Amino acid sequence: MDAPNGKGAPSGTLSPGAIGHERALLEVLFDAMPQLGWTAQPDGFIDHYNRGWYEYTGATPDQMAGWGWQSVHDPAHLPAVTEKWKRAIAAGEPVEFEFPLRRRDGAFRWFLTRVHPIRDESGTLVRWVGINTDIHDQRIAHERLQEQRARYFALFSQAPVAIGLLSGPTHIVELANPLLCQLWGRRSSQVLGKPIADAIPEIKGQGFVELLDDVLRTGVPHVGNETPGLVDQKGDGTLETLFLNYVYEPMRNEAGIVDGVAVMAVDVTTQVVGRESIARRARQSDFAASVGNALTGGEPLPVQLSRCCEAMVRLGAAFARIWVHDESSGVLELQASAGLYTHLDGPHSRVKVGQYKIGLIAAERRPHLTNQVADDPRVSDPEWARREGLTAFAGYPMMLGDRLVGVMALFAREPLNSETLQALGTVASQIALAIEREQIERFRELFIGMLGHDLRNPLSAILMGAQILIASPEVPERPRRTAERMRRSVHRMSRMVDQLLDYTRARSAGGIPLVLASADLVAICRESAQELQQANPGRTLTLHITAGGEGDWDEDRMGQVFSNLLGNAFTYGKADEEIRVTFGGDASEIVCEVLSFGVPIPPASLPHIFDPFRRVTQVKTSTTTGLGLGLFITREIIHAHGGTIRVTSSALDGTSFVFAVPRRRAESKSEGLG
Amino acid sequence: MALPTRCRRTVVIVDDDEDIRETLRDFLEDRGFRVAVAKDGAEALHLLDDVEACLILLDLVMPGMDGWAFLRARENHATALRVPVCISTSAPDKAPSGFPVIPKPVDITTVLDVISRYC
Repeated sequence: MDAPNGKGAPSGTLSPGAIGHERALLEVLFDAMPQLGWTAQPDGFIDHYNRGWYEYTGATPDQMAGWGWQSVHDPAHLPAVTEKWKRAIAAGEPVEFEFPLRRRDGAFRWFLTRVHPIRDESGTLVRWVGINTDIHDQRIAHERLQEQRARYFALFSQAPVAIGLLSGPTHIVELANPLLCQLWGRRSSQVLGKPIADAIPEIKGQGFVELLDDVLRTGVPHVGNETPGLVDQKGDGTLETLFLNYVYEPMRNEAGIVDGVAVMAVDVTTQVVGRESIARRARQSDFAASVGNALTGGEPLPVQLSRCCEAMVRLGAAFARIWVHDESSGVLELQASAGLYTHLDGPHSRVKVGQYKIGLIAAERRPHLTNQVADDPRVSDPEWARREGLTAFAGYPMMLGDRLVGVMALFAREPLNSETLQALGTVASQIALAIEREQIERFRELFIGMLGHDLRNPLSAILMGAQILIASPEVPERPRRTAERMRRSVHRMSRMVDQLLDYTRARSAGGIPLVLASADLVAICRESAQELQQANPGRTLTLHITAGGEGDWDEDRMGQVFSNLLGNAFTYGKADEEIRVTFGGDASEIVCEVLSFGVPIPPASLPHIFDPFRRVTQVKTSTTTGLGLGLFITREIIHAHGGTIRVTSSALDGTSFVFAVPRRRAESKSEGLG
Repeated sequence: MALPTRCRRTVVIVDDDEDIRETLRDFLEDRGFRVAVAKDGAEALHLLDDVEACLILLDLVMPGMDGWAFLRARENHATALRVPVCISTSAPDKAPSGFPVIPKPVDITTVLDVISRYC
């Protein structure tokens, strides 16, 4: 509005009278305009201010004369204004500045000032005209807006959320805050202004671009929860899995048309991975516990191995199998299978060492692990693996030292991580131990059979031969005595065979088997005592009974206990000392003591008195030439009856064996049978 | 030196151990018994078709037809079924019930007592 006036109409054609008239008109207009205005001589000396100026500044013409205007300027801006004004004067060119001017009340307000040079017909600069427009309110509003923008930008940059703006059908990255750039593994300069698929090429084919297309097309936001995505975060071409919680929010233009998508995302990878690893650890410890239970449950080996395979399936295997190595034939025999296949026949039921991948694992005695089953040359049928969705394979040789016991293998549909593989490796050796335990058990049974049958038969023949010789009247005295010694030796050896048999039984899984029946323990004791007294005439044995002997006992086994304890008392007790047997206890248990006096058991030997193959005594008699298994078997029989036995020994108080046995077994009566 | 025959019927000894078999045979024959021996159950069944037996002294653990199998086969063998059985075994805990059992190593006087009861 000031510009056309300031430039003025071409005045050279007006008459002097007209000029005076026009000048008065201009002055009226100049005073009436809402802006502040002034005129200056060519050298910048201001010689006229309009009314607005005086009203605004409250200054007098005297104060304003010449360069007096400087007094209403803000000293902070004045040097720059003065400098710029001087340059404009020197150049004779229009100039524009923004600066604050002091109002009459002392407050500064911002003005936009435009200064125009006025020239005559010859082009000589004759005057300057300056117009100051109050722009204070706009300027303040703009400054506020700038501040606000800066605040928003700070918020956007520092937000704990990845934020971005994508515009247009190709989703051009208009904005990406530092967190979003970090999430993408790119600098902002690498992504800004580019379509998203060009900025982050690896997201193609992951479904995100399609989702953005949908949001743009439908205007419906999309929310993703713990959505996995692969991003080349390090910029080295390796893709890492991120888990994101994110929102794609449609952005509308003034016309209400969706023309962009705001992206907000939070990286929850740590939480998801952490949670998964906790769950995985829980699964692994459950796995270890299941296998532990399976292997100690006392069930037959194939059942134990099946349980182990089932545990592997629960750990994540699609199917799991265990082969046991038959050393004599060099064949791996499939013993357990769980998951996809549970049958034990087929081409993999008997695998020669070195044949198939299972046999190769056995031959190489090295685990074979892969998370790329389809590309594994050892997988004989990759098409089948693909069809079943199997991606991982883990096979372990089960070794004990350098001896191959078997092979354990599984296929899985998910890649197997190192922790899982470690858990499987540990379990492989546990299973190997269980297999060996079973083989030892089998050998033990064989050994029992050998002792029982193969040794007793020749003993029987010798015994009979000796007895026949003893009974033959035509055999002279000397060879008859020899035959008698043979007979005694056979009896002793026969007892040793019995003891070895009992020892082996006690050491095997079921312990010493019992046949429990209602009986009188005191009567059982009496029978043993009578037999021993007959064999040891002149010795005194007394029974002291304060509680009855009723209960559930294996008569033969308890008879063995008494003949052992009483036999020891006769053997190691002094001939002139009485042997005292006391029965006590209550309604639920019997406590029995066998007390004798002789050379006490050395204190150092007491803790080992029940150990097998030990016979602790200084007294060497002809009848102590046994195996040292009597007390071990005695304790095992007492244990099998659910009881306990202990011993004390001193010169003064004698040697005392005390055992306590419950009259009834809490569990089943057939406990220990088998 | 053989004594006059005590029983016109025969004691059948079934045992795979030749020493036991032959020692028993000598011993019993010396005491006037007729004795026939078999090394397993199958041989014993054949034997029982030919001899009139008063007692079968049966071992359990034998190769071929063992004692348990013999007892099952005996159920369908009219002649054998009439002859009483005494088991002489190294595994007395595995002996079927219903028969007298002499555990090995056998006491010769026990054997003689049992046989004297039947023959």
